[in-house]
Amino acid sequence: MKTSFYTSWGNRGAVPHFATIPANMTQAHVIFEYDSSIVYGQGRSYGDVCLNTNGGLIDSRYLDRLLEYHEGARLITCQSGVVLKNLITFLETKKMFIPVSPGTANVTVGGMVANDVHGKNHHRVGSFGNHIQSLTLLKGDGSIEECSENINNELFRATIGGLGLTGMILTVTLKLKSVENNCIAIKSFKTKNIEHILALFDETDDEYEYTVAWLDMYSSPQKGIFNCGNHANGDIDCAAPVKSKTVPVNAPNWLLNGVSSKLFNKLYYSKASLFEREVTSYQSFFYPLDGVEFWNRLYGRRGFYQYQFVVPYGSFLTVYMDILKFIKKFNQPSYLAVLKKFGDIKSIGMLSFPRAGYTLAMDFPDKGRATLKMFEAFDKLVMDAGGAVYPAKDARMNRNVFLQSFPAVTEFIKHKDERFCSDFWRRVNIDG
Amino acid sequence: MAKILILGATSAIAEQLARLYAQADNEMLLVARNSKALDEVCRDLEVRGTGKVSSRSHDFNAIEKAQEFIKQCYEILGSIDIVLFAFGTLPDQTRSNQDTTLMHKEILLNYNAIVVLLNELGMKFEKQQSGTIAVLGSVAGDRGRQSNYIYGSAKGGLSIFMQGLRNRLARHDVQVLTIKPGFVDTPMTKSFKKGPLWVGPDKIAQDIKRAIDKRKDVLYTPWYWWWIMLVIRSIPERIFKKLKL
Ligand SMILES: Cc1cc2nc3c(=O)[nH]c(=O)nc-3n(C[C@H](O)[C@H](O)[C@H](O)COP(=O)(O)OP(=O)(O)OC[C@H]3O[C@@H](n4cnc5c(N)ncnc54)[C@H](O)[C@@H]3O)c2cc1C
Ligand SMILES: NC(=O)c1ccc[n+]([C@@H]2O[C@H](COP(=O)([O-])OP(=O)(O)OC[C@H]3O[C@@H](n4cnc5c(N)ncnc54)[C@H](OP(=O)(O)O)[C@@H]3O)[C@@H](O)[C@H]2O)c1
Repeated sequence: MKTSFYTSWGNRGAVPHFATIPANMTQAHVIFEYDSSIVYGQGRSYGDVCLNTNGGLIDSRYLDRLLEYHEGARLITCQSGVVLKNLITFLETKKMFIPVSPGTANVTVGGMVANDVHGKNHHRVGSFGNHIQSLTLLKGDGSIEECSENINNELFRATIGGLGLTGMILTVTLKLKSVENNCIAIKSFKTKNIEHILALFDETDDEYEYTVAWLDMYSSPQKGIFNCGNHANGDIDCAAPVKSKTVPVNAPNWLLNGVSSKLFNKLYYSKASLFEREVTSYQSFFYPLDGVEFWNRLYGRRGFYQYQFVVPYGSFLTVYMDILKFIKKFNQPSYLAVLKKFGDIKSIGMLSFPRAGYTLAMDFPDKGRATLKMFEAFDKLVMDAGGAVYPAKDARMNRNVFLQSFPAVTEFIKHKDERFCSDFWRRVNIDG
Repeated sequence: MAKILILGATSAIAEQLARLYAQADNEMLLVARNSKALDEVCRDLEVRGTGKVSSRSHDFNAIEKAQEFIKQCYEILGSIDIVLFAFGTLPDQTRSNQDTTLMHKEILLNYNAIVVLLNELGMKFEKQQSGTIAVLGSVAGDRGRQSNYIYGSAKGGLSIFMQGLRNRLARHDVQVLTIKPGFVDTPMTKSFKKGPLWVGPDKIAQDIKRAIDKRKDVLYTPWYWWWIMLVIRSIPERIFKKLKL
């Protein structure tokens, strides 16, 4: 069998796989020809949770059918390969929306379950896993398990946030929220420093469903933009921008460098007033980066990393300040940084990342050893504060960091399917 | 409001096109040989809002049943406004070169099975004096190449059959659309290495819908294949025969 090359969002090189692309759910049943397999959604994870080098890969792209829609109960059942942007387009016609959305709409429903993704409204509604009515899982032995709060509860909790290691999610039944239109009423603030942002999170928690802050890591103290929003009322329409641009190939390595990204951050800050419109589309509020498809290629052939962690509220400021020191010491500023506040709604997945605290996500170009050394320094700060590093964004954390971030892994192992594995799982080496 | 018949409805391209027609006032009859796979497609179209979706499983290798089959389609739909032919296989050229029985089977499905149905439908559409007959051909039918001429000849023959049918039905206000996609990323081409000329079936479906709306005769999709095939067709045969294509 021929090998196919797959990569993830960090774009640090494509690796060979024995890929199968089932055209329907029946075909998905005969996929386990290899010692190990992993399901690949849209590859929007930054690291290796969706990769299984030289092993089996099941590409879910054709499993993108909607199977059942219950308006009254506000439920939709769909196959796991349905891409969020297509789901949203359908839901728009029904005046419904998904309860939790990550920062890109180019992700699959299966991927959102397997990473138990969070959105800008975590403080109100928790993470994606908190809104799943039930799911069906195809196990490596060919059996299909229905899982929900009441049926196979443990397997349900292992699969949500389970990094694709408990089997292949075939279908998901998702609880929806009803909305009056497709608009978000927004408000943005320019912020002076990190304390200012933290104060705004506290002040806006009650009034706004969605809150997020962007930080210019080149400025000192870090200026930023704080965005908050609610679903708008009334009979209005905010149709999404028509077409996105795409970056067709990897840019030369020099294109995105300290100078250009500094400029970008400056421009973004100074132009921010332009975004201070009253109502805006989902696209521009939730998925601003989707406007340029495959923007990850701007980082060039070497690719990039994202480091996302969460620490308890009380420790955040100290950790943040220390991180700034390390960024300075290693002289590797973050090109893009986003801060969110998680609320205290408990995630139901055994390996779910969201938990009470602040979560900061920072993009860094891959500068080899030095970048990795800096991340190790971050790890220590985050671990000492009792925090966690996010596997969906990770390509380098070690076994200890993973174990400390996710103590319930001992419970999770019982539900890991032996026919499923990923580069991530081998890397954190829990089995061995 | 349209009544739509899709032959080979589990094809990735056909499924994407059906989604574009999923509206409350449209009615569809979907035909494919794998009924479980077909069921998934139907459920999706119902959720997306197609007025009425019926399905039938049928193996188009059964050429002798063509007449009866079309009759049954009319019994289910009453009348037909749009029919799309999407079933087909991509024969393994090397294997077919060694195995005449296999080659014959591929030609039967990709040419004979289609033209017999077209002939039946031609009579109905001629009477009806309206509607669209759309068939998935291929750019591979524009010139024979050693790597793919069994498939290519079936598609090329089909294209000539369609020209004739178009010529015959033009004055009866029937649109006869030959669709010639280039490289499309679907289950049919899953073993191919993909490059920059490849597109998804959703893109092809959008182009087909637009071509039907505009009542076009021949569609190259995406558009750049018109130019690529213009170049390919214009290479003199004495040079072309020496190329490794
Ligand atoms: C620009 C950008 C912004 C982002 N913003 C956020 C954010 O705000 N919040 C957040 O939480 N995340 C965010 N992410 C990360 C992203 O939401 C997750 O990585 C998501 O899981 C990607 O989905 P995918 O379909 O691409 O899955 P992949 O990356 O392909 O796979 C992710 C994991 O899901 C598993 N998986 C996928 N499908 C199945 C299935 N059918 N059955 C079993 N396992 C499956 C894979 O095996 C893998 O372990 C962002 C990513 C990008 C690129
Ligand atoms: N993909 C391309 O690059 C490309 C380029 C040019 C033209 N085309 C043409 O586009 C059309 C659709 O192809 P596609 O790309 O969408 O591929 P596809 O998804 O593989 O669709 C082909 C369909 O034909 C069906 N089929 C095959 N033999 C059949 C039979 N005997 N009876 C009933 N159904 C049968 C298959 O059903 P099963 O699943 O049950 O086998 C499948 O649903 C084909 O005519 C193809 O030649 C494709």
